[in-house]
Amino acid sequence: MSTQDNKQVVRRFYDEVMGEGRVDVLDEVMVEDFVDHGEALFDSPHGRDTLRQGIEATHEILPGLHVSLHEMVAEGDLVGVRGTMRCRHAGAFFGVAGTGHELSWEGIAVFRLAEGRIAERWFNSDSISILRQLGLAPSRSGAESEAG
Amino acid sequence: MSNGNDTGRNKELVRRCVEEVWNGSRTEVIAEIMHPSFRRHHERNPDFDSYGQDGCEAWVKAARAALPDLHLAVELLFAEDDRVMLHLLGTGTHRGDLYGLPASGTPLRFTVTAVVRLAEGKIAECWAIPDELGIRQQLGAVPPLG
Repeated sequence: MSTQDNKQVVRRFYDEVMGEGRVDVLDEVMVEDFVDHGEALFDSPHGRDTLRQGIEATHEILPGLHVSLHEMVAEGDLVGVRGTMRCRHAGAFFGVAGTGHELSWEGIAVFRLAEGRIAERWFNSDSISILRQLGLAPSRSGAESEAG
Repeated sequence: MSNGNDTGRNKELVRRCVEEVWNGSRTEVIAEIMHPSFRRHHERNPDFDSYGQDGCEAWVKAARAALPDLHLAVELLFAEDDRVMLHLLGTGTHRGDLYGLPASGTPLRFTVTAVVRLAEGKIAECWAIPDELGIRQQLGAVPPLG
């Protein structure tokens, strides 16, 4: 598979699976024993079925989910993306009841593909921003709390 | 590739930035490898962006004041056109203010994912997102989420 093919698979994951909630497409774009290297907020849901359940649940509580990809970088079997996720906070998210407000945050992810399907993912998202939008972490504008 | 980009050289510059500037504290290397118009984009607030070689040096010095033994291990490094992407595993001991939290001696372990843009053979722009929640949780500032 070329790097262009791999980029197209990652784009389908974001547009069709994450955006449109078409979890039936997941089998086409991801291997069954998918390995996720997450972070503190979103953890590491190993396996395609676990991710599928997570995406289904997410669409219930965060309708209108959409990821705008600002750029894609590919070499060999790796594809990286930088994007903004937007959704509406309709149901309980990290224990916070739905408010109807829009949530948005930045993220950067790297995917490893094997024979045209996503096999592995590494990512970091601006999780502190999500917690602040949910009112779970104090919003501070001081430089001392932002430096790092 | 377009624009005559040498992705091999670009990756080498980014690796030198991690190993010499960030891990080695060799801030004199900044003038050689960072573009004078360098900009680091803060992940949520452009008021905290860093500009220029001086801004880069201040960013590195602030991080190393918080974590003097900071070490960033390059787990993934790849490139296309004028972009380089990397995933890092960071370790360091909390010996100075970090996110407004005073030194605690806590050993930290965290990931960072980043995109770098190169221009005129130098590092011109950077978007980097650390696992800030994971760091704050390790420092006891945010409870684990259920």
